[in-house]
Amino acid sequence: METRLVEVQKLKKFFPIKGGVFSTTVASVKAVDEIDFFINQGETLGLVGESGSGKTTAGRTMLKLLQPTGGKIIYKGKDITKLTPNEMRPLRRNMQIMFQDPYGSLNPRMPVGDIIQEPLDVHAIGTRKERRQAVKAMMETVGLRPEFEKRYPHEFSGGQRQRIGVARALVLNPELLVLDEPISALDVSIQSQIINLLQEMQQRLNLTYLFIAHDLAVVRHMSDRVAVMYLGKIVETAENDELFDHPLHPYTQALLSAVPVPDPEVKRERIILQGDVPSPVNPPSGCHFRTRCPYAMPICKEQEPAMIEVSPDHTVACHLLTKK
Amino acid sequence: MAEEMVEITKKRQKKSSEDYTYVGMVFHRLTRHKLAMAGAAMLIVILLFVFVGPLIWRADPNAQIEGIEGMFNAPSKAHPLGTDDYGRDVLARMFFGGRISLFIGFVSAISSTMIGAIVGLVAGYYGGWVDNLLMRFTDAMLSMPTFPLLIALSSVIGKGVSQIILVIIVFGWMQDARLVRGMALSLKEQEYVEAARAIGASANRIMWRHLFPNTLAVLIVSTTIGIGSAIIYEASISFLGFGVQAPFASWGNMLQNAQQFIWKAPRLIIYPGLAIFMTVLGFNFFGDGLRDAIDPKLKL
Repeated sequence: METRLVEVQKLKKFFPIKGGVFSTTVASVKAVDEIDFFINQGETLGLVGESGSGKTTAGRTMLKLLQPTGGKIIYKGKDITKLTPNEMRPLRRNMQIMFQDPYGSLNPRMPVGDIIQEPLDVHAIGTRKERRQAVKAMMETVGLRPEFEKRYPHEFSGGQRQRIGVARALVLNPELLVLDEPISALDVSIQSQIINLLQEMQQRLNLTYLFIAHDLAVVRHMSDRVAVMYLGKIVETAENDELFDHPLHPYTQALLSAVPVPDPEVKRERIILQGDVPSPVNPPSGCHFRTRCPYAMPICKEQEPAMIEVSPDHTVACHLLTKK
Repeated sequence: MAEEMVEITKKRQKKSSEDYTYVGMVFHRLTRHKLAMAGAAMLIVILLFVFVGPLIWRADPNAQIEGIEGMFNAPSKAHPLGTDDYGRDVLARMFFGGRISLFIGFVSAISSTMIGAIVGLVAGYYGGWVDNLLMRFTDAMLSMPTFPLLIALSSVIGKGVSQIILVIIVFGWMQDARLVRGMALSLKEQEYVEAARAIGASANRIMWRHLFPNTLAVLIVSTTIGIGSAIIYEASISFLGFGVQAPFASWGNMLQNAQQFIWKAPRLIIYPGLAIFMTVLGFNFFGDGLRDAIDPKLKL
């Protein structure tokens, strides 16, 4: 029986736009608009979507790096939505994040040994000597030479910096790791190294991943289940193969048709979406995707499609499926 | 021949790896900055004058030569810079006055930068009403007329070196607070700050371990220039008679003392005036050069 490590229900994160003389909130960016998902212990949930779909915000809100506007975050059966930063601190040992930008995510004025050691310092784990030992061991584990601990981040390449990021995230031995586009800033040749490292770590330490990315091939390679986001909403969730082989939501279909196939003989139908992603300040009424959907119907404008389970573990939010 | 080449390459490699550290790079760029080097030269001259001078010329700065023949002596072998209205040796007074002026400059500039840094970090990191409160207070401090307040203040807290330092700190931290607040506002959006929050680091830790070290380069520049202005400030306060009190010398009160004899003995005004001018100019040149040297976008 699989246990749910973390679950979010109707999670919302709006960013206010202030304006006017008294800087009142005139509107808000609906970055994450009532999404539900869960991640089982030891699995990888891939979260895909184009830029601005809110996937990064969803990941950060789940870790309470951003205070949610609404909804619930349940971690190991405990509601952590309302916890204060002080109450969150002991939990932070178990949930970590790794960032996209290998340059912005490391303090340029700190030697990498100190960067990796900082989580241990914050949580006061072990003696100073033990911490140093743990840092060296961790550096070795992620494929960095321990004698580099005195060096500064700018002396490392992008791929090495991401390894430092992995080391910092894993030194506390967490259960849950949010990977916020960990490879999209890297060269293709380095990407596979980091992916392999992450998979190796997952097996060794029994980690649970939320893998945020827009590279579908990598998501397919990494994930057990995949959730697709569009304009602050999750439109489809399914098991990895199920989603890639039988996409049901028109947006997922369009997204998958954009993945290049390494075979020039294969003739495929490309679904080309018209127009741009609407503004998350004023998302379309009803279904958010209707303005670009090739199958849009009158009902899509009036009613928001509910998430329905079409087959076990495969849920879709689309009126096309409700009709059938 | 080949060995020689290897040797040369090795040396070059060593040199370039030194340049690669941040401090090494800044230092290297600084040595190429002509104005900064001119400033550094001036400062070295002043520091040698003030600290090594008294070891060579051992005269008591407060000893007076009694009688009218001791007053306003022209420079001579016995008194290289002559004597003042009390018959005291001007060179010795220049040494000790310089020490006091530099001491006041260093201590007050460093302390006011630290206070500015704390206010700026707290305001910038917390934002919201904390930021508003602190920054409006900073604005209020900036809009106060300093000198009238100073005169009023000195009647309350008295006159002397520590009082001057206190006054310069109280009226000197605001620019640094604004500077650091601006930097903290942009630095706190960096991902490494978010990473620190993700591991559960406290606000204090984030401010001092992550934000502060990244503002340090700019603060050093600001302190360097601040020393110059603190010396000017000390001179102005002493000139008004609220600063370092007789018989102790500072360059400022030497100026004040000399103004009544400006026609009789103009050299008494020229010496401390020149010393202040050179010191402040030296700190400003050096500070400007430092600012250019830490800015990697600037070609030097």
